[in-house]
Amino acid sequence: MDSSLIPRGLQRTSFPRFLAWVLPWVALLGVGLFAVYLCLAYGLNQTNMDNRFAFGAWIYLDLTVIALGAGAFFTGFLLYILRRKELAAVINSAVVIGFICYSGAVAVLMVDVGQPLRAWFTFWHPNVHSMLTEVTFCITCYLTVLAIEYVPLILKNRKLRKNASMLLFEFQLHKLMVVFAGIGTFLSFFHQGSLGGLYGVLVGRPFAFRPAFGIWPSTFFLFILSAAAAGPSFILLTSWLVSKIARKPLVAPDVYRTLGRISGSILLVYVLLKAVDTLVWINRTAPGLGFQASSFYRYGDFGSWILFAEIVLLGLLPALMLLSSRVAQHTGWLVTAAAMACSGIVLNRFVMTIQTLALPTLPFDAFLSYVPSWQEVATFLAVIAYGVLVYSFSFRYLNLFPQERELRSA
Amino acid sequence: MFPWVYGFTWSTGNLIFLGIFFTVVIVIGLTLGLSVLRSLRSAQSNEIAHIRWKSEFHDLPAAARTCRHIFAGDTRERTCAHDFDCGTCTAHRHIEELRRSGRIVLHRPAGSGGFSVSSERLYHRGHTWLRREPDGTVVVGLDDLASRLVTDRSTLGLPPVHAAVFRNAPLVTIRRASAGTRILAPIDGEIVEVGGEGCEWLVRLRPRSLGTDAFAHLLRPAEAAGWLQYEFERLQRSLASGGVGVTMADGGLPMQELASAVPVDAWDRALGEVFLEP
Repeated sequence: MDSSLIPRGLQRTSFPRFLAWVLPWVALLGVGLFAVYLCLAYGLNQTNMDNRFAFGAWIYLDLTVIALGAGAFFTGFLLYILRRKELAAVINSAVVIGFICYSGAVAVLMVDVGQPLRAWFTFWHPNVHSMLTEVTFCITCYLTVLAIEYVPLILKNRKLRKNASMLLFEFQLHKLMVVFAGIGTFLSFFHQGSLGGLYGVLVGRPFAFRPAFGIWPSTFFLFILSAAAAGPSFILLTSWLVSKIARKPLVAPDVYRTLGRISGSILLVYVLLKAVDTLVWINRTAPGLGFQASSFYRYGDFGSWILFAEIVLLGLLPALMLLSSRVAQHTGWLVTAAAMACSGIVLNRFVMTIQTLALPTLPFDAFLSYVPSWQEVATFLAVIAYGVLVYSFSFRYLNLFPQERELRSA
Repeated sequence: MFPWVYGFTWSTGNLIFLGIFFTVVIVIGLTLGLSVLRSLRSAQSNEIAHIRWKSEFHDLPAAARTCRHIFAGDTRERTCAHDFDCGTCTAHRHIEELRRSGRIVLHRPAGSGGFSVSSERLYHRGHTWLRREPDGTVVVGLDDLASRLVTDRSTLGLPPVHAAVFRNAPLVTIRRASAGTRILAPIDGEIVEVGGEGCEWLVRLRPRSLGTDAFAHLLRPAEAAGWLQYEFERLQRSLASGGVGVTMADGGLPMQELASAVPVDAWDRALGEVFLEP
């Protein structure tokens, strides 16, 4: 039915089966859009956030997908700037994932600000002293860059490339991709950092506050490193997952190994710096603000096990696994390590967003508990459904994995 | 400097932050604008055929971009990075130099896998052959592998007389059921005659140039023999679902009616593989 749109030489499932795969996600997206309508029509009272718990599931989702979407900028940086040619096998997929992550994050932010029609105020009335202003500027610019990087992929569709003007534009745009890769790296470096810096400057939140290097707290650098480490792991994980769902090899094993090595190396540096940062915080920063670090781990389920899980179990361990040549020989273990690395970063963003706000800071404060409303959860899930849909259509109609054809006939 | 930014002051923070932001915005806009400008210029200067081939070549699998010198036995592993334009390849020029000085000899391989190769013809990687005629024209036909795939001449859409053709741009179109592709022109030129039913060639061309460079990218018969065998294997691999697996040599020769052996649902893929259309 749609075979003339599918790239030549690639095998895709029949259209009815594809439709059966897509429909549940469309339904989930529909529910999410209804929740979004409720939030926009009746206000943020539809959520369980309040003035004290102002960052909830949505900001957690934003931080997480932006960290995981870092694979787009980092793969682009390695391929176009450092000329790691082997990563051409995953760059298309990385761009689509990056676009999904960032557009999803921006969409949720539009709901979260409550007044999306006034989103442009941030550009007209910028507070140049705010990390969030920098984040907003960079994310907006980077989403534009990702959309520009996504366009050549779409224009290469079998049907579209027959149109001469589209082919010419795609060709000329592709030749300048190195500029966009450079801009993407620059923007990502700063907004990933500023997302971390946002928490590090919260002097009223001693759980998150960190000493500054220049104008940037240590969390600025830790967020950059952790995103750079998680990005390649997430690309590895998604490539493998798509390969399993599609039941065909999409990427050669040595590409998985390269991604694993890159991710493992950066993760190891991150874990070491994170450990040093945590030790400094335990012994100097927190006591300096009048708190024992252990006091932060006495509430609810937020025990010190989180610290252990974040640094050792989902940090050091996957880093060593990803760097081990023995593990690299088995794709299954490599994927497990990548999933652990991604989980570690997801946990870190959870701790920074939710735990930071839940902990009491003043003597009369109580430990806050927050459970997102169904509207928040539905919006959260809608972003995931949106991502699955965009990726599914891209995988079906675009050549996301240039090695697929060759691996098929190997 | 930034009159449109509300509340702008000439402070260091404002200048650095907004300066960087607007620089990024300007660079993005300029790069995008440059792409549009270049596209318009390419369209006006009639570079579409050239760019289309560059784009298609870029998307070909590495196996389809194998260097001609592998078929001649000059090298073991090499992928073309010059869009099959051997005239621009320094390695090709170096090997040709060695060959001229007699340090490398071009050996004709023992066999061509059952495909016929004529010593009077030059071969294009898009599976056409070319023969230079005494009157300065050239005739272009389908090589033996392509002829066995495209047996029905009525499925071919031939260009009209006087049409200009460009190297690696579509020369002939093939239509069969839902599948379709194009056959690339081997050289630049103008159509002077179209071959009729039963004619061994498809079109007669008047080349734009008769210089050596105009034919440098075409394979000589000794190279074409190994290349056709390689191409047939590549076609078989691409048609084998889930890889070829363990096979035993049977010493057989390719059948004359290859088209009938290609499953209907794989026809599109087969055409794309052979005629280099990704």
